[in-house]
Order: sequence, then structure tokens, then C-alpha cells
Amino acid sequence: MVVNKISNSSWIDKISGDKSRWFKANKLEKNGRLEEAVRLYIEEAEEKRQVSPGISGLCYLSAAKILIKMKGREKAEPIFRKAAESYEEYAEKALSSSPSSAIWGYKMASKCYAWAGEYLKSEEMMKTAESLSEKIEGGGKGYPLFRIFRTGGNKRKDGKSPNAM
Amino acid sequence: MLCEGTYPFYRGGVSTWTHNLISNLKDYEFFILSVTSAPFLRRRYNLPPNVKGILNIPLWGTEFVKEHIQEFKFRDFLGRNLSTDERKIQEEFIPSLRAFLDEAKHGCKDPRRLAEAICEMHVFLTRHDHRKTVRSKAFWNIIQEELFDDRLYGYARLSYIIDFSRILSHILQLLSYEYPYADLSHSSAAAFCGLPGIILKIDRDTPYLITEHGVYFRERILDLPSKSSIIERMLLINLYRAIVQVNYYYADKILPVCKFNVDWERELGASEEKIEVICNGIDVERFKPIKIDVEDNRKRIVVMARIDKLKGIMNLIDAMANVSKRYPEAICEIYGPVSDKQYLKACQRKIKSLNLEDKVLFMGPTDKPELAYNRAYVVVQPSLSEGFPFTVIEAMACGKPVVATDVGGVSEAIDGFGVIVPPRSSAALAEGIMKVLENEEYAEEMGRRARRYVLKRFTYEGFIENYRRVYLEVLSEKIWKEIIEWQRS
Repeated sequence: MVVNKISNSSWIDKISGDKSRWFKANKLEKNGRLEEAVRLYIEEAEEKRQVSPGISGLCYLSAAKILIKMKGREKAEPIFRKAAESYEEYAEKALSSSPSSAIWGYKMASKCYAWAGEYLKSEEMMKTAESLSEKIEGGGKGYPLFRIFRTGGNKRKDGKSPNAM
Repeated sequence: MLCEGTYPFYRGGVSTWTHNLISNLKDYEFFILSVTSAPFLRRRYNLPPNVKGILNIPLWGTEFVKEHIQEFKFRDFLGRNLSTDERKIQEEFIPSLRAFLDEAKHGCKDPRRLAEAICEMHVFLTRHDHRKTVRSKAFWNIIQEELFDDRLYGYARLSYIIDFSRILSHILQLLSYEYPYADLSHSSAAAFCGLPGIILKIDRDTPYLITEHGVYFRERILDLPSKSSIIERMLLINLYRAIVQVNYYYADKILPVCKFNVDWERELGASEEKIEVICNGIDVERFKPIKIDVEDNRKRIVVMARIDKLKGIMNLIDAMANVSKRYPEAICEIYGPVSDKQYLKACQRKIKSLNLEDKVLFMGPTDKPELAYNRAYVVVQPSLSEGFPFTVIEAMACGKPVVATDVGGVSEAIDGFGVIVPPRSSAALAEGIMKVLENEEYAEEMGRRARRYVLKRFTYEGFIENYRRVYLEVLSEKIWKEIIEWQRS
């Protein structure tokens, strides 16, 4: 689609211009200052690791993405490992309140471990996600909070659609 | 966060949802873009510290776009005004307005064409004068060509087309604002407030989410002016359909609050793999059974709803006429703000004509709904349309039996732990209420079970965690896409 680019320099930038590290890293990345952006993403990821492992995983993943561009996959592997660990921690934390979030977390961890070259760990994460998924999908009576709406493709054993109560 | 007629300036279910979500997602920072009806509105909520800014976009009540905001500079206004003339409007604005109208009047044949027109109009209107544009000859020529001269809509009344053009000029105000930088945009409706989300998605590849409470399209149909002809209605219906469809098309995820919405969304062209139901959750520590000494021993029927046609208050009043014949001591307390003054007057007239002045009381809005619920013998929800109503699960959490109409996600919420009646039937509603009033033991047991059920299914933690994950999911997905593309290249 051809759309004229919307102006970036306006008063609205002032009010949305935040001081957060994530925001700064984003801007640096867009301006091509990649080394600085990686540093900020990693700092942010480390700071958020305890309180918010999901965000930490996201920051590591952003850093890994830039490292791949800059230095190739090998250099990015340790950061992918850290991202995987963060996503795994996120999944464990989310498990009690939202199993569907935990499933997603384990799947993300699996992908990141694979990119870190840790294939066994990646497989283990995927198995955990799948077994959890089976427990939820096969759990009899529907539970909207924990269920992802899917098309009629994967029918339940009783022949009803997966979301049928 | 993109809102329309809700947070933080109006109270109601969607505002409560927005406030709960923002207050609990402390690890995210929010900027609120609120489409409203007036420029200077009092905030109805204390904003949590992670709200970094608010932009109120009033569609009515301002002569010049942005005149109500602090950053408004006369110099900018003058610049925009001087750079706007008939030739520019004709060349740079009219082609996109023509495309927009063509898509709008046909209910969106091509969402990409519609979105492109919206973006182009946004680009033009942020650099030029909105007022001058909608007063130009070129603007009205296009209205003539696309509407008056249209083979179908040409049959609409002159006054109606002029009204429609007025609505259009107000919508264009929304496109005249610059929107803030964000990592993702989240709209609380597939409505006009979603247009900034679509623009940001196209311009900056910002992931876009929609949470749908009541189905916007359905609610607009219910709210159509009753005096208009079929053709006139079609024009508005098609405009709403177009806006909803373009929202669905550009959303990365559509998050209905109940399964009821899914069928509508599918029917309106939403792709199924984007849809995920996330039910509302409530604070079960706040909404719990509380012992309250009420002034008398009358059986209280509590309703928590704003005074609006969609809430079915008229029906409730009719039902109360029936109920009070068998239970003269029953009293109905309606808590909620007035959003439609005409409707309130009509309700009051009806109450007077039925001699129910001391039996149906408008209590106004309350900051302590948990206390209001706990005054009740039974809580009633008489709506004609709902998404996934907080009032039902809050009342259930307070251990109260609920009688509710079968609309939207209500029956999903109640799931057998309350009484469901068909909407628009005052007789059925009265019967449902009397069923609970006549058997105290039954009512108490229903309330106890309802609370247990809510504790199991509609907790805050699950609700918040699901949104936290969806935000992470769309952001992570965007990064993955870049990684994969980079690797391929």
C-alpha cells in the first residue's frame, strides 16, 4: 500500500517521548545506533528479570535480533539463551493464573532455546507446552478464560467443537 | 489505549474494564487516546501512575481542531489555514474522501482501499485546516456526487444527507490529530476510535489489538434512528459495517469478552485465527458478601446500569408493575449514571403512570457498587445488549442471586448459576424475579453457588495475565518476523 509517510516531528512526540530505557533503545535502533541499542535492551532485560520476566524476554529477544544483524547468529546465541530462560520463568509464573499464557511462554522459550542451539532444552519446553495444552483442551467443560478460540478443525473426542460448553 | 465515549471521562462497564486493565498491568505504560463528545470533561477515574498521558479528541464542542489542548499554537493553526485552499483540497484530499465514501456506502468492499483513504485523509488533515476543508466547495461537491446523485442513496431525505455529512465532518476531526508513538495500540471497540490504531499499523507497523465488549456493529444497529427510511438506515449501517470491517482487517488480534461476540465477528469478516476470547475478571476481595443493615425489611431488587435505551430500564419498570402486585413490599433500586436524559424522562413518566414512584427509585451513580449489591435480595440485569457484563459477575461474587436477560455473554457468565430470561419481555422478567422472591432458601443457595463459581472462573489474575501475554505475544511476534526475514535475506 502506498501511503505518504506521516510526519514524526510534532508536539505529540513531546508528550509521548518517554524516558524509559526500552523507549530509548527503540529510538536508537531506529536511528541505526545498534551497539547502544543492544546495551540498553540488555540492561532493561536484566533489570526486569525478577519483576517481569515476560518483558525481560522481550528485551533479550530485541537485543538478539540486532546482534544477528550485526554479528551473525553465533554471537546472538547467549542472548537467545537468556531470552529463553526469561520466557520459561514467565511461563512458570503465569501457570497458576492463566495456563494459556503459560503455554505461550513455554513455546517462546522453546523457539529461543532452538536459536541458542540448545535443541534438547527446546524440545523439552515444547513437550511441556503440548502436555499442558492437551490438559486444557481435553478438560471436559469449557473454560473461556483458559481457552483459545479455534476453528472447527480440531474437534473434541465427543465430536463437539473445542469451544462448545 | 484507544477509547470511545468511555475511559476516563465516563463511567460504565468498558471504563471499568479499561481502568482495571491499566491499573493492573503495571509493567506497561499507557497513553490514552479518548474519543469523546466534548472538549472539557471531568475525569471520572483517578489515573494510575502508569498512564503517561491522555489525549481527549472531542468530536463536538470545538470550532477548531486541537483548540482545547495546551499544546495548541496559533502559529501552527495559521500555517495550516494558509496552506489550505480549494485547489489543494481538490487535488490532495478529495480523491481519498471519494474512495472513503465509496467504501463506506457499500459497507467496505476492499478494506485496504478504505484504510488507504483513511491514512491519506489523516496525512492531509494533520497538515491542513479541517474547518476550511469541510466547508470547501470541493467537499460539498463530493457529497453531491457520491450521495445526492447516487442511484440508491439519492432517495434519502435532503436533511438526512446533510446530517450524515455533519457526522462525516466530525469523524474527520478524529483524523486531524497526530497520534503518539507506541509499541502497540489497543482499542476497546471495533469502532471509530480504532482508526488511529489502523493508521499506526499501516504507517509504523505498530501491532493493533481490539477488545470487543458489546459488538459495536450490533449496538449501532439497535441504536439506529427509528424515524429514518430503509435507505437512510442502510447508509448508516454500511458506514458502521465499513468501519468495523476495516478494524477487523488490520487487527493483529481480536479479543471478544465472550463467545457470543465471535459469531458476529466471523460474520463481519474477522479472520478466525485472530480471535481469542478473554473474559472479564473481577476483584473477588472487593466484591464479596458483606453484612449491611438496610433501613427496612423490604425485598430489594438492585439494578446496576446506566440509564440508557440499551439497558432495558423500561422493560424493568413494566416488570416491576407485575412484581409489585404479588410482592407489594418489593422495591427496585437502579444505580447508574444517566447517559440519555430523554430516556430517563420517559422512564419517569412510565413510573408515574404505573404508580410505582415509591417502588422504582433512581439512585444515581455509586462509587461503592459492592455495597449496593449487598443491599439486594436479588440483582437484576434487564439489558437489550451486553458484552460480558461486570454487573452480573460482580453481583454473583457478592453471593447474590441474579436474574438477567439472555443477551451477549450473559448466559456464558451465569452458566446456570442464576435465572436467565428472554430480552424485551417484561412478563418473563417479572416471572424470573418472582421465582427468586418466592423462595428464600433457593435464592440463598443460588447466591452461594454463584460466588463459588465466580471464584473459580472470573478472577482478576487470569484476566490480567491473559492480556499481559497477548501484549507480549504480538510484540514478540513482530520481533520474530524481523529475525526470520533477516535470516532469509
